[in-house]
Amino acid sequence: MPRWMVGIDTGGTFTDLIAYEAESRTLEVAKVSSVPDDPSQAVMNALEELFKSGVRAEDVGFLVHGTTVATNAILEGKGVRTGLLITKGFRAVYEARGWVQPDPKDLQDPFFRKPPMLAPQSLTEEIDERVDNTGAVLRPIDAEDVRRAARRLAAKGVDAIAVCYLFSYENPAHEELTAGVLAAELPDKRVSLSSRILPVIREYVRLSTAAIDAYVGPIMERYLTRLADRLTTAGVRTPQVFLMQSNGGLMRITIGARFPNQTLLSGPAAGVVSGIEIARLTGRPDIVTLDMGGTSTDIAVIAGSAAEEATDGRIAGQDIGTPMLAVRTLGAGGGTIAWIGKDGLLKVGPESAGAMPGPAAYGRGGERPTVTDANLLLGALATGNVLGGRMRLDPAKAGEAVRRHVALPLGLDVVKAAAGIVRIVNNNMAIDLRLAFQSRGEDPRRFALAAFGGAGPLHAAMLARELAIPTVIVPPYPGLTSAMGLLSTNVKHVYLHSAIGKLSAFPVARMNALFAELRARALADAHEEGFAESRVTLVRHLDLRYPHQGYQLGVEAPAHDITDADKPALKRDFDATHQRIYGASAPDEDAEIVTFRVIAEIIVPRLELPVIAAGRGAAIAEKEERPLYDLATERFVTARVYDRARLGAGDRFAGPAVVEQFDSTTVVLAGQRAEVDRFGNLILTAGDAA
Amino acid sequence: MILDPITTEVVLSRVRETASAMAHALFHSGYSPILRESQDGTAGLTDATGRVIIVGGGLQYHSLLYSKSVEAILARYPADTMQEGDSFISNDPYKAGNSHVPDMVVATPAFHRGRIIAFGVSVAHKADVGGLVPGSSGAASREIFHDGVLIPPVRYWSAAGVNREVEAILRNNSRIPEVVIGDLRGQVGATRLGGERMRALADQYGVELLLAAMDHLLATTGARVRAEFATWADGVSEAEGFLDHDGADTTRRVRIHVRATKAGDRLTLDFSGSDPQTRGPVNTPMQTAKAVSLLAVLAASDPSIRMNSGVLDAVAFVMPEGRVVSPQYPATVNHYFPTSHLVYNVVLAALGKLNPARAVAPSGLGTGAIAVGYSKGRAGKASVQYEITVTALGGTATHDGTAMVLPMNHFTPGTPVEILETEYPVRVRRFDTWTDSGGAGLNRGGIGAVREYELLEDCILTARTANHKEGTWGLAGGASPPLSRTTIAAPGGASEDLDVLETRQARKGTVLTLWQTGGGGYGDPRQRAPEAVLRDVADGYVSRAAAEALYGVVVTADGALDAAATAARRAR
Repeated sequence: MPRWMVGIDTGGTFTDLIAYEAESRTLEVAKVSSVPDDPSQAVMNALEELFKSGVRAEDVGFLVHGTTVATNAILEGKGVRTGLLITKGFRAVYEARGWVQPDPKDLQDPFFRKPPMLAPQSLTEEIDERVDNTGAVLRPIDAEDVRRAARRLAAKGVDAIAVCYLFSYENPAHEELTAGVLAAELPDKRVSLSSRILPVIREYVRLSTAAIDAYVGPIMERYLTRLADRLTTAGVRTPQVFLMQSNGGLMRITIGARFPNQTLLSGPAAGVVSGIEIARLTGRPDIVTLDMGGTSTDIAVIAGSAAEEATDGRIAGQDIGTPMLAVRTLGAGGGTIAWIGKDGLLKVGPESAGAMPGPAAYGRGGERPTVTDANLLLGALATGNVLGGRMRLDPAKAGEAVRRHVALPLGLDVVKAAAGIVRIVNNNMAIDLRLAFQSRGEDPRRFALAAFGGAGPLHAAMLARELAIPTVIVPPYPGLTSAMGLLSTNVKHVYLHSAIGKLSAFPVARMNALFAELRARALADAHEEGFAESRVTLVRHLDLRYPHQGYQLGVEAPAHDITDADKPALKRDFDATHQRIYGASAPDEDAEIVTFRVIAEIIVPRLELPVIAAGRGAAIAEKEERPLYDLATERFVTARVYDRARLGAGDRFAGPAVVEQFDSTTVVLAGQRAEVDRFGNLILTAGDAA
Repeated sequence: MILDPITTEVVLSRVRETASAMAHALFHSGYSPILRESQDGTAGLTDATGRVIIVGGGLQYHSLLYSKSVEAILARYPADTMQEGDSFISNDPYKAGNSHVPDMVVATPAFHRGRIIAFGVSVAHKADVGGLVPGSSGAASREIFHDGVLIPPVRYWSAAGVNREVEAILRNNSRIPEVVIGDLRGQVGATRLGGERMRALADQYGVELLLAAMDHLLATTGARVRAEFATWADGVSEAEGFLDHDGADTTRRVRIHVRATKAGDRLTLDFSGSDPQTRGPVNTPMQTAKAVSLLAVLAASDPSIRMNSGVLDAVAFVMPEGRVVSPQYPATVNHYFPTSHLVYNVVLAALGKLNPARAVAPSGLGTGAIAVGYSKGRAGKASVQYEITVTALGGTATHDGTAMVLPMNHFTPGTPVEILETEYPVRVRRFDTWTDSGGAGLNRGGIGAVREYELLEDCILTARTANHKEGTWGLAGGASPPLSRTTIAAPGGASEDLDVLETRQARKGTVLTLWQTGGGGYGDPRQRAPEAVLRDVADGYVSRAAAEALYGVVVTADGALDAAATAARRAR
């Protein structure tokens, strides 16, 4: 029985691996450079690192992969040549892109441009058909019409075709007929039906989502085929290979090519999953995650152990309605660049020095000052502690960059300038944290801040103090927390179907039929993934709104067949949810059903973070003392430096302190105390060490 | 007070955050679709004297209205008589400066230890405040009293709670009082949130530092705009544009004219050449005309500068009383929006001549709205379908204009076809690209759209559109786009043009078509690369006929470029 479970997360700079063997409670980690041109190569390189530690390929019994292949295809405009079939007369649906000018600064710029259409008008064919809002056919579709369109697109060399007709979520027959014709005419081309991918109301987002599926689908198919070949060649034979999804769950790699859209924001989602796992391990159901890497920070509010879901995603300007975990991203990372604005004030970001050239201190030719450079000058980072000493930081280069680009123009000394950079980036993150709490209707003082990503633990203590968040949790491997998230979740699929109607008047027979249809889809996919029906847990939700609202909120529906007697409780749940999130509700008004939803989950093995050995006092882990700049008092204080690897459960110490480890550095402020819990989480709280 | 550039940035970021939080609160607590879905409102901050610090939301032209409102409220209620817990309202364009009567202003003083340090302000469109027609904005208005109930600056809320007398008057003057009161209370909530946040900032950073940072923001904004002006050559330029008519006298077009004088680091915008105020409702209140002019200034200089009162330091206005851009009480202003769009285009055109580096062809004209009132909607209840009309941006020196977007600083998600047909008795027959609607050019105008509705119940149509006779123009040899128009066909009848400002009864089965034009072209279309024209033909943006006639590019019937014919045609 192969015993190792392995998570491999591809990031922009690094590909991270975490592996765990349950019986011996052994953890192995690896970090290799990503290979943008061939991401599967980096996956194999990471596995090679693991195999060097003695683990054999045939010992791998469970593998989860987080991929950015589909995401990068969109970011770089490198998807396939995509055709589009639409209802005749509706070419503006895609062109208008919902009319919206996406960015506030674009509002006053007459040079503003919209993101490119993934299927241009020249590859768009109109089909003379029409369905109305009840699903009734107003104008029947003619297969011959579709055939002619298919042939025209074939002649133009399309590699994939998206199909989005009006009201196809009410009645998919025309799209299904189209799929049949396309399969005959273009047998080897991907066909993306909006009624299968996202059968919900609002034609533009459904169309855009289907277009994304077509645009990246073939790229994903190629990648997964190549990856599967390489895994087989390397001797990884387990059928238990999964992909991480944006919804925070897994899917079997064998069906991954069917759902490329589900992988688009899987990286940030893995961080949220880790946050949920941290909430479980530490018994704190209310967690806000701060996942700060080299170029950006992801923030997610987890309340009551539950993450928030979004269906209004946007990737490089492309709108996507696929349900995903809600993550707020801002341009604040270790490599984020500091600069002087035209208003004479110090700015940090959103531009990043990235992996190349990276911060000035990396000595790879970067000349502009970054957050990492500032942290080095302030004593938060040490010259030798990047990737366990594999890389050295050069304080002279950092100092020169900060001096030239910040200190001199502002008339400050270098330390004050570096402190300014950290203050500004902290402030930027604090603002997004507050806005994230506001949009969820939550009070930060009830929460704990889970800080990870390579840079999160450097800033977390200061941010917690700013927001009056009482506790900071730094997991054992902050730089590998997303990879750990890959091994901390279930297989999960979300099935949606819009059907609009007043809750009070909606026929319960139809409600039950819609739920039954979604359940059948869920079980069919589970079957295809090789799971027995008995392993599938189904939860049913109704997305409701007050009439004319443009957004809806989900409430859980009972597991039994719904009767009219269930409706008042559904309405009360909705009113209460609306009251909690928006501070208002309308109990006297009827609610409207917008979407039926079934969430299918299948439990698979998880990484159970091992309990670590009891510590023998933090003093053993103390390495040295060094000056650490304190932003509150604006002076250097003497901080004790601890080696995290040598801290045991129950060890405690007081700030000011710095905790160093292979993949991250944690700062503990004066007036805070730190304690290691039995899983190795570092817990920071206000107050002195006991 | 000496400010350091780091603390100032921190504090000003917090002020920006405050505006974002206020706008979020406004859009999520409002009751009507106008507020929640179209986001037809803003929330932001002024300083204690009414200088605009920041506007949260997509309608940055609300900025200067904030000033006029706060000044008017302070004139009626001196600062030393204001109490914690007070909120004030007004919707009188001549007193509070709002763009038209349905826009209700709320202002809430933010106190710090007994001293007013700022005002939280919100402007938001109300679905109905009385007046001649449902929705309050009718073409037949001839004076401001026809536009709806006029609330002078009054105290609407105090520490004791809502002022029930004022609220009773409001309720009594709306066709849909619950919606109006619900939205108004949402505005109060947003402005109070702003006040609390400002008080917290004063506590955290010190009140003097907070106030100094706001002063710094306004001063540096003005300085940045002046620095931009200093890089332009000195000079004078003029531009003009026309509205079809004012809705009262349909035989006479209405002229908007500006003369821009740039000297050193200052700019003067002189509207003396604009027409006198009109009897019909196309006048635009002066604060709105000034604010959209300032937005054109930012568009023509550096759009990364965020709008606030500081921009005024760099720009002087000459606006004689009683022009269409500076109407005097009691002129009606309900149809100000297309006028303000035209003011924006005209100022942008004049400034493009002074700063050619940022010159663009103007956006398409014809923005406005159509309201369709059904006596029995889908659910058997009366309902009003409100459609905002959208055009496109003009071509620029570097690329084609952006298609299908509301040009002037407005943020309005369009209503999806599937939502419209689900909620209203209407069938959308077309929502299509309009071939040849972008003005031809080296870089053509963004293309426009055709939206066609079949009305499935008897209804009342109110068109509040613009520019069916007087269109936009091209730049540097670029062509003008076609005119926007609205057509209507009764069941079995012929299609006829609907005037820009008109209210009609329509029978079930009537077909209504909105032709919303694209932007102006930039540069000589005969210089456009033949391959680019060929692509436009393939995309359906340009017809073969127009490719040949306007661009001199010959495309064969099967969509290939006829290089020889093109060369011959272009050589002519």
